[in-house]
Amino acid sequence: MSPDTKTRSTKTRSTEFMINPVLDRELRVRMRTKRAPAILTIYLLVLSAIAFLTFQALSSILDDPFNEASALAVAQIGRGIFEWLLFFMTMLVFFLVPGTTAGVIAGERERQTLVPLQVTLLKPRSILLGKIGAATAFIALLIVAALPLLTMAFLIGGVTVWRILASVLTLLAVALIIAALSAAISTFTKRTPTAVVLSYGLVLVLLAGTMVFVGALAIMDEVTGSEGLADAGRVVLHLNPLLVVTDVAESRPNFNTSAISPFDPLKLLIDPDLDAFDPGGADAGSDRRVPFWSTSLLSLVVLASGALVVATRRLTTPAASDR
Amino acid sequence: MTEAVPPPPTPQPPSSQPPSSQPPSTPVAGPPTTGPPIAVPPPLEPFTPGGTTALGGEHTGLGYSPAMAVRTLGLTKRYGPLVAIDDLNLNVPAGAVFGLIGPNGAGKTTTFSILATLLEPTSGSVEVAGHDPANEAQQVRGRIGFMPDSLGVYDNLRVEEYLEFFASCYRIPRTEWPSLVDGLLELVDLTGKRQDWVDSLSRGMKQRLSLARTLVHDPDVLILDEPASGLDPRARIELRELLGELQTMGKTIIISSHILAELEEICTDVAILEAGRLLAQGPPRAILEQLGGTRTIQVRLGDGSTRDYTVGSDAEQQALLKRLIVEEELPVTEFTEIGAGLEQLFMQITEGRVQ
Repeated sequence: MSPDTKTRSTKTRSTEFMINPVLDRELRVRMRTKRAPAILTIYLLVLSAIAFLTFQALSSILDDPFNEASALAVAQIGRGIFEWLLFFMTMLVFFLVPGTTAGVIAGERERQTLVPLQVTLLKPRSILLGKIGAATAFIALLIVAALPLLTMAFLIGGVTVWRILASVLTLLAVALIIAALSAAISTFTKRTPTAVVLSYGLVLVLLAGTMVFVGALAIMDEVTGSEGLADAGRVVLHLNPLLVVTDVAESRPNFNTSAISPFDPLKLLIDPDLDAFDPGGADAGSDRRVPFWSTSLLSLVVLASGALVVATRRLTTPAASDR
Repeated sequence: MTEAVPPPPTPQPPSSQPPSSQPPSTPVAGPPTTGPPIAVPPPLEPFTPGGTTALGGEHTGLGYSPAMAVRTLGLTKRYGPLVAIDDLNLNVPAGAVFGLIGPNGAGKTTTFSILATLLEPTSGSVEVAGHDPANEAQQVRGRIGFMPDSLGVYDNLRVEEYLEFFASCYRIPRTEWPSLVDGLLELVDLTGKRQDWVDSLSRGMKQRLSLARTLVHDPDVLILDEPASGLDPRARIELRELLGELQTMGKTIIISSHILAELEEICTDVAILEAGRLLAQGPPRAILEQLGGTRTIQVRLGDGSTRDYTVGSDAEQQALLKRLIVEEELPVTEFTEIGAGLEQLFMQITEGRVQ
């Protein structure tokens, strides 16, 4: 090869935009199966059914002779549809993301395709991010595909476009965070099933474990007569991804109407000072200068970033021992 | 890691003769190795500027020694109390087909993992294509093609896409992919399988595709761990032809196998490993001669009878042939060396030490 050729070639390489190779291949492979469009179709059908059933259930508000068909009553229907749809989508993220992401590195190990990747010029970070990106891309498609249904709630009323967009973006962020945590677990296990079990375990700890922990502290407060134990322990709720979505999606719980949303009790968990039976009353919640969702999202991002740093080190070669 | 990423070499689709141009039975003649043969591990030789390698090539400190594609000095790898590689001194001449021979657990795969930038050595120095795999991993990765002992292929990916994927992993511009894939598929005789799914290929074809994958960035050194394991005889012959082809293209090939017959016809140099220690190194015949080893010559006469003779060197072999034909005037119809290969060499060297 002549020096000229090498110079030209190097220049071409440095200026050409190249998509992450792992992301490119994974997307191609994942979307090539018949499963992807089938899941998307079933998912949208289920979401439509949820929207319809919620509408049917909440329409009774309008039949209530003591609650005339005011704009406020219609707004409760719109809000109800939005929150039930979002709740289902959030549950789906918690259910699907660990399953699609936990095997990303362990699966490469099992198929014995990790080593050929590691000896290329790809950085471990690129391998990991490409994998996470591809694993969450389909989930992101599911979330975005639900936007038309969500905006139906906006057309009915009771929820703003900004709240819908903020909720969807928060859900996407939560999906990425869980994907990062699951992928990090995947770098430590040799087999996919182990990674999947550990990932679901972690999600369960974050979702339920944090609430149980605070509940246990509250009981201890009751039993021992101590004060503030539960309040101090509430800081772990910042690591609960369901509560982040709740805080963004739900402005204020209101137990006075029959249109109870799944987020209402969760909102009270975030801010127990709120009076759900007197939402407009004087005791209308603590005056939080920093919203819960921002500190919670920040905590989760820090947790996921830390996990990614550790996972990248784990993938870096040469290593001291076989991985 | 803050190391600079070297510009990857421009891939050059192989344009030399197709594999079929070389008859299967033709032993591959490698370029002559420099310097005297080494039958035992060379004495510890520090990588000092201006020194001379054991095989005659000059090296400059830890810099690149053109004569040696791969060198290790006092290479040791321990896993806790287990010593996987013990004070290994390898010298792989550039352009050689270097066979790493040893029983299972001898340390072949560990050695390859270190050379291929996957594993850190516990101690010792390593130089692959002029770079240290532990500290200059990216530079080494741009110069080597590594094929592990397991076939890792993806589902739902076509042969063409598989090679393009690895081309992108080596940052080869997209515009170069078509000609690159053409050349590689022609080299490994898979042109007709371009649009086939990778997981539908036979094991031999997957093996050849894996080999093509190691070549996408036109590496100088190929490190192939047990490439022929699990292949049927035909696939083995095809692989052997392919390796011969690669050698004529100037690649240095380091290959391991515990089936010695596989390496017999292709290796210009061998290193024999046992329990992590290097027992011998150099051209097989030179090792055999240096160790005072013998080989058996079978002579078939015109009446169909055979006679066996034992010789110790090439000179003795020539003298025997001359004696039989010229002096004794025997009707020699066949003069065959039997049991003179790596198998015998291996047995002689590891005698009493193989578990």
